[in-house]
Amino acid sequence: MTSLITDATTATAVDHVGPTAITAPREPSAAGRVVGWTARQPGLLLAIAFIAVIAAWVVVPGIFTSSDPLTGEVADRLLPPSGAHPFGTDSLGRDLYARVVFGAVNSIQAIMIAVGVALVVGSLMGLAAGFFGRWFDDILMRVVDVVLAIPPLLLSMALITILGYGLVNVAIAVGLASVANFARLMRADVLRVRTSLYVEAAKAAGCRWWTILFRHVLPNSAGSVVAVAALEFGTAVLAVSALSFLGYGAPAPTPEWGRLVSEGRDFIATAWWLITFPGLVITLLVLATNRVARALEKGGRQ
Amino acid sequence: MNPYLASRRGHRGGRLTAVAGATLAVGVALAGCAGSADGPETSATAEPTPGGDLIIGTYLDPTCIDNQQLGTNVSLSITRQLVDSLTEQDPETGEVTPWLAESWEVNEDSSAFTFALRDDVTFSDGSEFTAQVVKDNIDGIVALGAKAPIAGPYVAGLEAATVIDDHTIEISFSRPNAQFLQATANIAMGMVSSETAAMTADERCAAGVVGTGPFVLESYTANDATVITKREGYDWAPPAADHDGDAYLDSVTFQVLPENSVRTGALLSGQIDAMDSVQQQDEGSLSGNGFSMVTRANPGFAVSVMFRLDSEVVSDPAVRQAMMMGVDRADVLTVLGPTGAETLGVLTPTTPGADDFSEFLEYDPEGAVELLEDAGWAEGDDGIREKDGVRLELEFPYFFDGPVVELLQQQYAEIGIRLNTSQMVVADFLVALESDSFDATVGNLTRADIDVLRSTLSNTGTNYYSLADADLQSLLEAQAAEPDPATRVEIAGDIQESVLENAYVVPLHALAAAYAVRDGVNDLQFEASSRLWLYDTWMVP
Repeated sequence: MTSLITDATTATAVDHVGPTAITAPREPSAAGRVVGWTARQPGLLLAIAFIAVIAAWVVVPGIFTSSDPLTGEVADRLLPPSGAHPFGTDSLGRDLYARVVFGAVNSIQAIMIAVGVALVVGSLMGLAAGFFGRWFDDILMRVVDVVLAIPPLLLSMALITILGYGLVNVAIAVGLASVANFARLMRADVLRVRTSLYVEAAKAAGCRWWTILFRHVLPNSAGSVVAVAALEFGTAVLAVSALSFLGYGAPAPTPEWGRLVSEGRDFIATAWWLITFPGLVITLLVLATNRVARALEKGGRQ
Repeated sequence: MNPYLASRRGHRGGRLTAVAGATLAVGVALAGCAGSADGPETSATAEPTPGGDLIIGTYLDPTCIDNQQLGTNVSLSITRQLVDSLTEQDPETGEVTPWLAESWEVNEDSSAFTFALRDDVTFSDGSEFTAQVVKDNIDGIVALGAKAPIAGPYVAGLEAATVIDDHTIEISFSRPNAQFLQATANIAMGMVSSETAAMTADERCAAGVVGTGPFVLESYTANDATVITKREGYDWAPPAADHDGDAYLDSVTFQVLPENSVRTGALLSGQIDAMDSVQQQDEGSLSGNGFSMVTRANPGFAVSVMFRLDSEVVSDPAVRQAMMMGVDRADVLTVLGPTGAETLGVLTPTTPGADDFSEFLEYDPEGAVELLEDAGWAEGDDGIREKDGVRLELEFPYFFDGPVVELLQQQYAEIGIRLNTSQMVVADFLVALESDSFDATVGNLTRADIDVLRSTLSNTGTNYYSLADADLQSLLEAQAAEPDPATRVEIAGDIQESVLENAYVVPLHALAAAYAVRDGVNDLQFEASSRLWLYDTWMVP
């Protein structure tokens, strides 16, 4: 995942070196062109469809399954996948498909919080560092350097130890651990925008600094950060699942994807479906978000 | 380098011949293993042979090789091989028999115990086993204080340990203490050398104890392995043992393998010879086809739902009664597999003096619902019952038995009771118990003596459960003071009946020691508290 991000970061950074990037007005017929362009890419369509399904699981899990994710019949325990139980049943006889579907709310919520925290905190740091410069920039960027030096998963674990266990805390920790990337990216863009003509002009016209910051600098430097946020989504899926697999996340019996994988691992030799299906959903979601992020990035360039 | 791998490589050559030998002996070995769980009749079918290095995969790191301190299943199973006790408790009959003490006398009110010790026993460091050593041990346990959670309560109320002569000691208490005789048979009261007893708690953990047992500690590497080797010249085996003299095995390695599937895989692929804590899902692959299960239910206080009886919701007897009737114990056992066993009362069936109270433990969800309805707990919108604005919700912290707690949550939801469960590490769990921030939890206590009733329910000690019933409290004290074993069992029966009638606790199941061994490993046995006893264990060469 790290390499994906690094690639994306360099790619976007390179994109914006040229002077063309400064003028990025949106085309009026953009919507129509985006639909047409997307329709020509079956992989992207599949990815969007999958994300849409997951989104539907989050919003209306009840219409996808009639089984209760929290109660099961012990008599029906460890049944392999079948018509009645598409993903099979777990050691307490609960329907695994229902647990995956209802688990989407918890997992996606955590992932959203993680990405949100990283995006907001990281962007603000980068914005402040790039805009105010001088010693303020030095301090913030040295902090970012230090954060980058620590492996993100390790940093997340350390943060959880401080914040306490629980899915929301896991999400916040994952978010904080990836703040540094966003801060750097944002700062680079802000530095570029800050010296542009229209900012100079605004300054000359006597605009106040916060007007310049939020009217001119922020909107013109946010594009690449948003594209990376889409990529970060995939990383967050993995990080949240990993931490919840390790037992830092939601307590039993809450269905949560990482936890489902963890619960299934004892049965890997006897009930393959317990670890396979939640694992597959996680993997597919990561792939799908990466595909969409790549498209966003490409789309942004065109 | 991993000493585990080293030791495997060390006798790879021996293993090849062992495989051939094992195939020839399969018929014999199968018979041997089937019998080993029940008793010593195996030795009649095959002649035990000395030698062999046994490797056991364990689910936990022992963390401290000291039987008198913090006792996990694994550390107790290891230290049982290193230390002997004053007395032995026969695992079959529960009777306390001589071991390091040849005989003893108990005074009329069970407050003073005089032991006459064997005079031919030495520690593995060469020092002699004397009355002074016993005194040092008793005083050492008192000095350990909270670091001796099992042995500490056994010697609570100690007046003095008095050396009468070199091989006679009197241990007296300020109040009747009938449980003490059985306590002397427990692993936590196993005798360590005076030198060990004089060390600090941390030093003892790291260095390991020096005992008089059939094995000697060779090495302990945290989170890796513990190696023990045979003590040459061991000549004071307890009467229940199948043979005399040295142990059969040359060495035993306890290899830490926490991941269940890894442990099972290691056994199936022949990297280890035996493993503990066999899970339900692996039972199938480890019964027959070259492997067999050796299990025994733990004696003591059954794993039960324990209530904080002064909490608002569960102080209503109807709620507790309903929870007693709302558990399908057959489902509980299905989910647990070999690590669980049926209990017929508050005391598990392997506890000496246990009786059948199963009429209290029948599954009757309709009856439970009726009871709650009659008591005014009406079903709310979300299925959880309510009474006078109070929801039937229980704060339920726990630190073990997760699958059973999840099952309970399901079963209780069906009768309209919600458990707000939260899994905790032991340290946090104890804080939760002390801060009274819980309504119920699961608890148990393993020990082959009916005094577990008092240790768990008495309101004089930690009193987590706030059991205020004065009659019951006086019964708990009465059994502790009763010198006659038969009368004591009778009182224990009255206690259990009262506990179950009032649903002060809801017994769920017994824990069980669940080992799997490969064919060729014979007579893996359990002592009275269901911890390993490897003195008689032997391997087909």
